[in-house]
Amino acid sequence: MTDATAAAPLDRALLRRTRGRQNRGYRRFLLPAIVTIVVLTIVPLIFTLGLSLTSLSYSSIRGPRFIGLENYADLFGDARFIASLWQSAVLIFVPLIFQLVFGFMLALVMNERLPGLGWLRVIFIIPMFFPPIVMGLLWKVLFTPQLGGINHYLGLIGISGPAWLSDPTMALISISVAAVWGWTPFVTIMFYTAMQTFPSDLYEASRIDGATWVQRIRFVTLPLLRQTALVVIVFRIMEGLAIFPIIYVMTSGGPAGSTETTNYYAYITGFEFLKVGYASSIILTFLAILVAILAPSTRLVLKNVGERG
Amino acid sequence: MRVRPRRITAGLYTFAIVWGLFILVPFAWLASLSIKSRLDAFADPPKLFFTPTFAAYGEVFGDPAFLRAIGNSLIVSTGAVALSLLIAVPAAYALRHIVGPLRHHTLLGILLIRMVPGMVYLLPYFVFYNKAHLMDTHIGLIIVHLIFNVPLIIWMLTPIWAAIPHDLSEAARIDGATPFQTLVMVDLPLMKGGILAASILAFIFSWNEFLFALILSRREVVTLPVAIVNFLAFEGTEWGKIAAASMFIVTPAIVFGFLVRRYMISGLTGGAVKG
Repeated sequence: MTDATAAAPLDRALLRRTRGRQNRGYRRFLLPAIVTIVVLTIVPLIFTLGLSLTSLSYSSIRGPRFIGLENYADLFGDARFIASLWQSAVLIFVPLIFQLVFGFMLALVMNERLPGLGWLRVIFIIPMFFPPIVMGLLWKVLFTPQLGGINHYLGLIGISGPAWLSDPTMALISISVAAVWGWTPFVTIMFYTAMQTFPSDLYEASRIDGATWVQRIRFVTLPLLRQTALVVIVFRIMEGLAIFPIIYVMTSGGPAGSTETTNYYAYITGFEFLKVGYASSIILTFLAILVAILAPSTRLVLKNVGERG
Repeated sequence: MRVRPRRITAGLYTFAIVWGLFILVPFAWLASLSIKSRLDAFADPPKLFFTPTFAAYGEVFGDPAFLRAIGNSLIVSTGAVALSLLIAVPAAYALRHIVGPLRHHTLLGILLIRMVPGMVYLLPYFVFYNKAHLMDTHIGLIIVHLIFNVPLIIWMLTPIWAAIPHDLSEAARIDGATPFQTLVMVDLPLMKGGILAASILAFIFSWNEFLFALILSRREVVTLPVAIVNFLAFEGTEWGKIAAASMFIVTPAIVFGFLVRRYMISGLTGGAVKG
């Protein structure tokens, strides 16, 4: 596709054959990257699997031994683990819904090229470069009584502000607000980039057919965005728990474990209780669940990967 | 194209302005906190007008632990970017030329690996680093940063490499230059801009990284994001200091981020979106 400038079909066939022969010379440039990635990710992944079959714990005086699937069996009876799965689902999907809605609206605003809104294109992206830990601090400040002032201003309009971070339900909402703030720009860029590629003749045709603006969005833009939305959803689900630093500073999984996601539980188990074997089984089970949910759609999403560029 | 009803235009403007405030006000709040005195910070009702003081910045930059953290962050981020480039640039170059399933599977594989939650990798590194004396070292942290930066750079450079003119490198090959000579003498000069952009983005990711740093370098090689958390743990009420330190971390990330924002999507999603 990138050789569209080549003159004649014959030349392109010749070029391809020559290049095929040259492939051999280029493979070794790829080798360091493949070795690095295999050594740094695949090997540790297998190692984690091994760890999850042991009783390894740095807080125990007994040495690690092989215990088979015992850790995994224990998970089923671990109420804290089950709760963490539910809380993970909440903290992945609740922000995701708002990210999709607001991300779409923002992309729409930018795509309409409304006069006087150039500044929005510049500032909407700011949260993307925020270190997640600072994002967490920022919202912790805002939700802290007195320091943040949110409840003061809510009071001015007659709303008695809730205890944002110390009430279990409100804590989930507070973290979701931070997650929407932080990752909506990603969704916006994805949608906006896709909108730029939509064929204008479709819009032209719908206009000639007398479609209203709303109908155009409903019947042209939204269907065209379906593929992109799927990509966004897969990425946001897979990376949804990258909010770890936010939880870490805002609530530390509290109050009473109400914002403890599964990766946070694995963190506590592995690095505070030092039960590394059990923590491995927690995080691998979570990874397995993610993959099971996403596997069917991933095929669809990734089928055009690598065709580009 | 004036088919948009006025009501909807008004709605779009309203949303744009509300969203702009939603993004900016929290950031401005943090910035103002960094230049408020302790008294003003906790004033009720909140003070919108106050005498700015840069005392908190003075405290932050007078703190030897924080200065060491700046050094550590610079060393780790720079080292991670340099090493990632050394591995990823040749790979992106190879992927420009290689055709067929090898190319497809490589690109797909590194994308999937990037998507795996970091916590999965953290446990084995914790065990291994304890044994291998890599805990709390610069090089130990640099190595784990390769996990996300090598895929990021490869994914960012691949489409850029495809877009630069290839007549020159093909001419060089025909004249008998080896693939390595072609890379160094022809491709790299053409790719300067793209490589710079990829380096900046990778630098931001390293600079912002928290999870690995929290576990693998808690005591000696403390980086900035962990140093800030330490402020929170040891000096819980020093919000001015925390805000000032936050501003110091976030400002370079935003400034450099703006420079490379055009390239972000392919790096983050591996071009899984058409565009």
